[in-house]
Amino acid sequence: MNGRPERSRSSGGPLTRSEFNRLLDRGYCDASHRFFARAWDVEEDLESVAAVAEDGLKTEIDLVALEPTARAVFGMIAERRGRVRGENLRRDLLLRGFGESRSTIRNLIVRGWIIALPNPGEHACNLNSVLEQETFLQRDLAVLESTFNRLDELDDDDALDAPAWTQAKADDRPATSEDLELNLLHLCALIRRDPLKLNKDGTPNRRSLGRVARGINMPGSRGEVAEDLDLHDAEQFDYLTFVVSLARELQLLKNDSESICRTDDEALRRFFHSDGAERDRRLLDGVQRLRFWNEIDSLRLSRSASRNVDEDHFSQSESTGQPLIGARGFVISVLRRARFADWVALDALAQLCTQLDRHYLDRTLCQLPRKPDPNEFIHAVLERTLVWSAILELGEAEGDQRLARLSSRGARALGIDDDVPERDSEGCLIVQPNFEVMVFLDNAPVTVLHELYRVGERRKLSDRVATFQLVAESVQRGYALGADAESLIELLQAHGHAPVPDAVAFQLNDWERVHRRLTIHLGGAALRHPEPERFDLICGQLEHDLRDSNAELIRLGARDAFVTDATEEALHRAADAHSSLLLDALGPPPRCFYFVDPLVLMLDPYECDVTTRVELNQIASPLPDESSPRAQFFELSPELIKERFPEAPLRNICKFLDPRCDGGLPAAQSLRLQSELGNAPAVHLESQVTVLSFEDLDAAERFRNLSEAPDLIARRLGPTTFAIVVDQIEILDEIIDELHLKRSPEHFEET
Amino acid sequence: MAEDVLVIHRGLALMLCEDAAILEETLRAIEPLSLHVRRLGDRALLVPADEIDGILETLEDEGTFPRLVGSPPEVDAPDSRDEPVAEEAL
Repeated sequence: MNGRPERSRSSGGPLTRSEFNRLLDRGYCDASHRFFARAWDVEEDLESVAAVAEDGLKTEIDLVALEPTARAVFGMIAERRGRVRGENLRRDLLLRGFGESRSTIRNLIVRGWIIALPNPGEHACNLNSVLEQETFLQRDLAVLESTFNRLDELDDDDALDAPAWTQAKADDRPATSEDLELNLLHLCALIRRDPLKLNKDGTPNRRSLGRVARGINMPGSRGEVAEDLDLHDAEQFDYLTFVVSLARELQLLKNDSESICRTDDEALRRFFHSDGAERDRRLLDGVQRLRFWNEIDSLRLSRSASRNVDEDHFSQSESTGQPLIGARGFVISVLRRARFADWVALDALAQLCTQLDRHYLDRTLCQLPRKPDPNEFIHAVLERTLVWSAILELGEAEGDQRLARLSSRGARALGIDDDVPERDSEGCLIVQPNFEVMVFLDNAPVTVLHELYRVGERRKLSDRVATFQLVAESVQRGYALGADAESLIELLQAHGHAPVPDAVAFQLNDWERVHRRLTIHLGGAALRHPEPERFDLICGQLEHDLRDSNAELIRLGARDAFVTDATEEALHRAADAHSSLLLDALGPPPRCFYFVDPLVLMLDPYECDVTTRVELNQIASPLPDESSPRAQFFELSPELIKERFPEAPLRNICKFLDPRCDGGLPAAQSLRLQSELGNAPAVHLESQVTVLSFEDLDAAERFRNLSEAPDLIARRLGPTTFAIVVDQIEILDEIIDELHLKRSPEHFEET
Repeated sequence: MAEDVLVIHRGLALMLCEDAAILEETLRAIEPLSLHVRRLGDRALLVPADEIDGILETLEDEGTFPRLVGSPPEVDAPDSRDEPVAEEAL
């Protein structure tokens, strides 16, 4: 029989006389007493009503004559040993294909054949109000003990037995979570080496996708697609888009405008090394939050005969799935509440989604541009999203009845059932002397697959065996991502069918030796001090302070060291305890240039950051004769500057020098640079010039209009200022006197 | 500037080579990138941490997969302080 054991807050079992007496006494109000008396056709006194619980109904229920849904209601109640939560009863009837049963249940309550019980702690429950407000589904419903005994007697009667899908036939090879995880791993491993290029419209470039897609295992098929890959086949392309989108939601892949690439290996490790239940939960969460794929178009594609499809659906920049996140979550929440364990009719499942909250999907979906039909959407989620993500499995029963059931990992993802059998992973792989690792997928934990994808290259995937090749490049790449030879050999030994061949173990260790020849500390702080003895003391103190932390101090010479974590508190203490200077390679440059002559600057190498020092070597020549260890002189070289900045040399050199000079690049230096860099500003120098300036513009204009003005004015310098021709000064004097202009001892500034 | 100043230069990555030959090999590999690399003795190279991705990519293209330790520092804002500009404005 379908259905998991119900979690009931009540005691369970049919309603006994003693319980009914208690309820009549405290749980029900007088109106309910009268309700029972009317329904059972007995006197309205409590004793008569209570007696029915023991003696049974005056008129026995003719179970055979009941309509099918009413019989099924009694069948369900019989299965639940006489008592069931109203909404669960309705849900299970929906799942069995009986359709909406609310009115049937109501009628049975009205006739007194089923009793709606007061909720725990409730007093004076009024059954008339319960029926009026239709709250009976939020209550426990029970039958009288006498009625239950009759149902029990008739347990084998067909009339009471709701249909169960005992002859269900599952798909030959349903999609599994393990296949999906393998596809995610494969895609991420290959995309890490070769980012997936996107076309301008955001669709994956088919040639680029083809490089990673050959190893994909299509749902329901055996082994990789390999030669059968056809990216013009809408369904294959669609499935790959689904996996890419899911990997993005799981943060295993990320994108920019031109490509999709893998996030750091830590994200992959966090996901695949998390415990099974957590991984299933995250997978389901990722499926619900799919933004760049949608099931409605996907299902339409698979039903369409045309190979010309709307490319928007595949676009990784068009979030066509985002508006459906809430609606998808609703369908998933219905599945979670349905708590079904065995086969159910697919149509009944879809009906359940529409019946449980009839208006939610209508409201949500009608806000979307294309207003998809709720029923179409529900079927798309059930048949496509949840099947491809291996939450649901599909099957068939006699009469082509389409069925669905939760996979074991699907039930775990929904939080319904944690009972997923553990795999015995011992002997799941064989390491061969030719560096091939054969993995038997049926019992290989995903953590082993993750490790093999990290250090190897998958060469082949047949039905249930994957073959990985360990080569120098792949293994060292794996070491760079955090693997190490000791753990790798240990893992291969622990899961191996036979011991790891010595030659393979030796080579894995040797590749690690080669890999370790260059170590990169990704972030830290370099320390410098001009006094070796004092620096030795500082380093000693820091080594002591860092002994319990993950950071270490690496001595690089008498005056240099490196601390592998610049955020360490010990480093701050050292900076406070000594006269110190903080530089930041990722922040603004230090003001370490001091110009001493035209194009000649001085710097203290200890004040100078790495970028500045390297750049300076490319644009200036050192002046060693004038330099000392703490004051080095350089002469800027126009030729080197042009070589370094072939485009816009003046602008670029000013941009480089300006933030590194206290107070900015001196104007004189920038003028000199302008001169040296081939576009020297031209100037004209004039001596013995007589300048006539007026107090106001009107007077100046009148002067300019004098008949003698053209002979007097050599050049107009501004609105009120004129340069006068040298040999016309006497005539100008005469005009000033003649026109009674007032002479001023001061020059008038231009306004 | 005081004579005994301790200079703490943050935001750097350290490339530590097994020997001088590996250092030379590494320098040759990354030379075309025109990065800001400061050599310290026979084994060490200092480079701004935000330039390490390009180095790793180049090394991996050449089949070298160095051991990576720690994590890159967080950068508050994109830094383009020394990127050359294309057009003459002055």
